[in-house]
Amino acid sequence: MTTRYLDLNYVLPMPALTVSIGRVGERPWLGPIEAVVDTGADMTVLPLPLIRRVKAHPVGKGRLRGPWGDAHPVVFFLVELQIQDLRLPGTQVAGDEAGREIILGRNILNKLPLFLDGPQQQTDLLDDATANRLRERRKQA
Amino acid sequence: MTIVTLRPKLAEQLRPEAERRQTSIEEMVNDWLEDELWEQRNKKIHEEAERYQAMHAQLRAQYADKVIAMHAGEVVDSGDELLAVYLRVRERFGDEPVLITRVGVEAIETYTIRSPRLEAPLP
Repeated sequence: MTTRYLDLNYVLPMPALTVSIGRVGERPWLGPIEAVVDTGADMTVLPLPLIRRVKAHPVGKGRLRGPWGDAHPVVFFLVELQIQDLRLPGTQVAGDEAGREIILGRNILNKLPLFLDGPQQQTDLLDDATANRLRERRKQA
Repeated sequence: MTIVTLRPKLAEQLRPEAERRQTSIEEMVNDWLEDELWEQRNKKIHEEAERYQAMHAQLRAQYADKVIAMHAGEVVDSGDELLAVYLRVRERFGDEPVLITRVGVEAIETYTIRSPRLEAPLP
């Protein structure tokens, strides 16, 4: 499965994936929505209006810190996410009151075999066979 | 289903808004009430988080790195996996707000977003 980089609203094209959102244990029905792939983000962030629409349960409170140290209080929610065909049950996300984009952080990205094809501006979620072939090649190198 | 009767004057006030949204008054009022309940649950999580912060040192001594569920200041469940604790809590408490968190070193965990964005094209 492949997703085109986002170029509207970004100075340089941004790697992206499409996600759908739902309540834990339910089919993710809201989406697909484009989400930016951000390996610099510890945590996945969703705009609060999307979380409100699926009526996800809040589970806790924390802080999100920006690159220059400014920290904002946030509420964490547990949601059911689907990234293309891959279902991620019970994923913790931070609710963002001000933001309008979905940021996929490393709590999710570290579970995905991704190929960021910069020159072609495509993000590919690799199937098992391709990911395993690359892993084998790495072992042999 | 519970039938709630709206005061006639209120129903008249709601009609144009429902038409603007291309929905029925009944649907719109149900959505609003659901939103309100959701907001209330969010507020209660803040209160629960304050109780958790106040008790963090003693909870850390007992549940270090475990996931706990806290309701009205009481630990009502614990375990190793967030999702497993969440599912048990939902079974027991339905939509009631329950704080579910891993008892880490800090009472309030901080996550970093390290990606600054350019606001203008590169020179």
